[in-house]
Amino acid sequence: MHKSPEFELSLKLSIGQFIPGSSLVHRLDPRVKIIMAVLLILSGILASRLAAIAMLFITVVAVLFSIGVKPGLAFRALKPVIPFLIVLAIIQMFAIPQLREDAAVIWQWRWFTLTDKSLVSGVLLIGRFVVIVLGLSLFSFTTSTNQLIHGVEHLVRPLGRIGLPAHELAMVVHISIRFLPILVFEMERLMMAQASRGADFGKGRGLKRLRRLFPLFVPMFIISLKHAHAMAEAMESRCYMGGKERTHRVRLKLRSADYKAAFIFITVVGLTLAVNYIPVRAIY
Amino acid sequence: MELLRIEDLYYSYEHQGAGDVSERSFALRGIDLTISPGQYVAVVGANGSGKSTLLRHLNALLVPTAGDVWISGYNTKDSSALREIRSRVGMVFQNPDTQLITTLVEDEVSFGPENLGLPEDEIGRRVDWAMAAAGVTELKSRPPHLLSAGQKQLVAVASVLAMRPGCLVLDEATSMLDPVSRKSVLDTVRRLHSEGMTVVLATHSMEEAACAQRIVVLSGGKVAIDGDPHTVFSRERMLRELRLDLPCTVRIARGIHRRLFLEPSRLSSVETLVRAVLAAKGERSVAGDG
Amino acid sequence: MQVTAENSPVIEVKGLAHSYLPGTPLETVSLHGVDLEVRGGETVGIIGPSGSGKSTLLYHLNMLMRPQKGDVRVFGRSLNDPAADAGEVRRRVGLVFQNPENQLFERYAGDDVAFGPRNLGFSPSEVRERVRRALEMVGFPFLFKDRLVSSLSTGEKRRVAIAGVLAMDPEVLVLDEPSASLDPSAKNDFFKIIERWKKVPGRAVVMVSHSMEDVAELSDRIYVLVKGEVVLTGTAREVFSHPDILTRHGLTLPIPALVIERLKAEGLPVRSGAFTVEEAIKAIEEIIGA
Repeated sequence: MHKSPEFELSLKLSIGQFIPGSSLVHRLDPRVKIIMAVLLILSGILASRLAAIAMLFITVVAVLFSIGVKPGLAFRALKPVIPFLIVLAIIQMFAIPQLREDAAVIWQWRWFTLTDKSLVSGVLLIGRFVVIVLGLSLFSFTTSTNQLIHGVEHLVRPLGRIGLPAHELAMVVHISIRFLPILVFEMERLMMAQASRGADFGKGRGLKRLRRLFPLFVPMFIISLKHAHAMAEAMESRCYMGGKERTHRVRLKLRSADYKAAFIFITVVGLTLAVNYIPVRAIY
Repeated sequence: MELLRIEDLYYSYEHQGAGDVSERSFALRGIDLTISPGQYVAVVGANGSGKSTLLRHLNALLVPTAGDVWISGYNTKDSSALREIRSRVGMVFQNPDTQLITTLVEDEVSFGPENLGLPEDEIGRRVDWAMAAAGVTELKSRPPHLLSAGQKQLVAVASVLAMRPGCLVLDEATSMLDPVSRKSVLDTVRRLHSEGMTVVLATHSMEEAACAQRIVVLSGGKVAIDGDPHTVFSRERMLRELRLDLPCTVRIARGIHRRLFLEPSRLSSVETLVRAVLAAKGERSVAGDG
Repeated sequence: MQVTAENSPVIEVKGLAHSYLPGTPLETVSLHGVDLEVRGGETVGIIGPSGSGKSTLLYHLNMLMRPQKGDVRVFGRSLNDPAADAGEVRRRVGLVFQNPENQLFERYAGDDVAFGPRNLGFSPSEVRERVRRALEMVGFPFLFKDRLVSSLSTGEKRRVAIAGVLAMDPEVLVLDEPSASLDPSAKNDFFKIIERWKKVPGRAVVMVSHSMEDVAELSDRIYVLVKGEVVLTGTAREVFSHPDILTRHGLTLPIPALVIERLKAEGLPVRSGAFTVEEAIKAIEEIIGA
């Protein structure tokens, strides 16, 4: 008894799934969460020391456990990427020549050389990835699409005052997010319809495989245009004319919990960067 | 006062012809139509008769190639009047998914008023009123795309109502719904009509059309029949030629050889047919052989 | 109905269960142990409110989904068998999706109809023959193969899409909401095509539809699916004799049956079990005299 591996893709997405709850993080202002997510990703990228990555990892995992969601779900998001990660890590650990210069060799077999530098580098690579994926999962578990959209829209508003098309930008993000489930559903139904006529999307390689996807491209294109047109009609019918003179029902307000959370988070990031950049001898 | 006046409306468009050349076809060929405030009008016709095209002229989504469309005195060709026109005539479309733009019902219903630049408190008032009028208040914190199709259409109605239109236009808004959802949307429309809303409803269900006071039958971009349901349903042969059918109950009534006090074309709902049969049975009993 | 060699089950579903996202906090059970049978020569209707799992059930019939629990046997072969060939099953069980005109992708109509047979590996001359027969079955001459898909009306596109499935020469046709967005005349044409196709002995049709009237008119047997369970099954007459069960689950009766039920409720001695226009006429004539 096994599920057909071919379909139900809309349901395989584990990042990007909002799980309703009432934890502290759930209730934070979305603008704060967006900025925290961005800072987390930046710190993850910048971290070049094990201690720094370890700090970020512990922070993210601690928060993950505090939101009342089964942590296993977040780790599920990592599953599909693990093989890819392992390959990259192996390349990092064994095949980058720069990491062999003035470094202590730990292990060697034929032309595979593992030095202390390259081992650290490999672990860092995995660590960064894990921190970023877990962080994004954490964000999406606690932030509904609706909150995300309002957050983006509010963050982008000041740009409107300096003449940039802030509202239109936010609307583009909004519509894209809104469209995604529709398009995934249509794609899935289309794949099933073509498969029912004997199409096999898995076979072949290279250009041939691409050709096999043709029965998907054309109808998806057409149906996306149709849906976009329908949505545009619906918006115009309700007097949508761009951002000019438009008011808003929702006005986000920061609360003390938001300030506290932001303060704690910035402290963590600060410490991480300190640990990262301040020279300390013999960390390893 | 809501008044829709259509004068000699022609609409043409370009499309792909049978032999790889672009062709120009007329979807509407000279329509004259006036709709008074408070009327409930059904527009019926086979696919390709021009129903949807006609409806889109009612809120200036399309403008005439020739002729004029006047909404409360505003001409649809006047682009500066779009806001006035579209806040007076609200449209609900066929596909429940693609007319919902936001990710929260409350946001969806406030979309229209926000576009009108109304102040926050006024938006809040309208949203509450519109959700109640459409019967979707309990859904206000739900994401629209997770609702059933029927609920989605009611949310669409609410989001149109929030503009406070005098006229509600429904373009086959129930054709993608199951029978129960269809009934709940139609009941809501009927209730709004009884409260003064002008309603224009395009459908190819004759049962739905039978609920209206007036039925406009389109064929080939022209008005073929315009009258009350009784007038329309008594032209069976013409309807058949126009690839339309009679409502189920009218077909039953026609099939019964015994006369039922009222002509079959007047028996376009289950209620009226049942009463007519009861009356006929009663008469027989009175005559002594019931 | 006795199960004989001529009408042995072509599809047997036993205890089929299915849930989406199993093992996660968002797990939703869509099917709870469904038993269903389709025999050669019959038309099986599946009705139920939205969200009842009808589509999920259909996807199991041609192996788009494999059973998580329970068994599906097609022409005697279990789909749980690892050796079951999806290609073979999908050839013999043709599934026509809702709004199938959306899946056309080729430039020329003939090429799109040929997609299925080509995938099955037939020679070019066999493919041509199948395309010709399929186009004829849906009422088009062979020359229609050279028409540009973009120049076709929605109704024509739908017929091309159906031809595309018929060209695979299936033995069972599964139809998901076949009359969605069709006007009455197009709907009649469509059902005539299906009736003609079904004349070949041994062929069967499974139809999911919201239209109670269509299901009543065409089905030999009906399954009523509610929240993933079969709550009622039997011949059309048997199923529509339980209006209480149907309304309890949010379903309506076909209009003729509604009329009869209302007459019964008013105390008239009308015969129960009528669910088509013709039967309603007869039942009413019986009590009021012709």
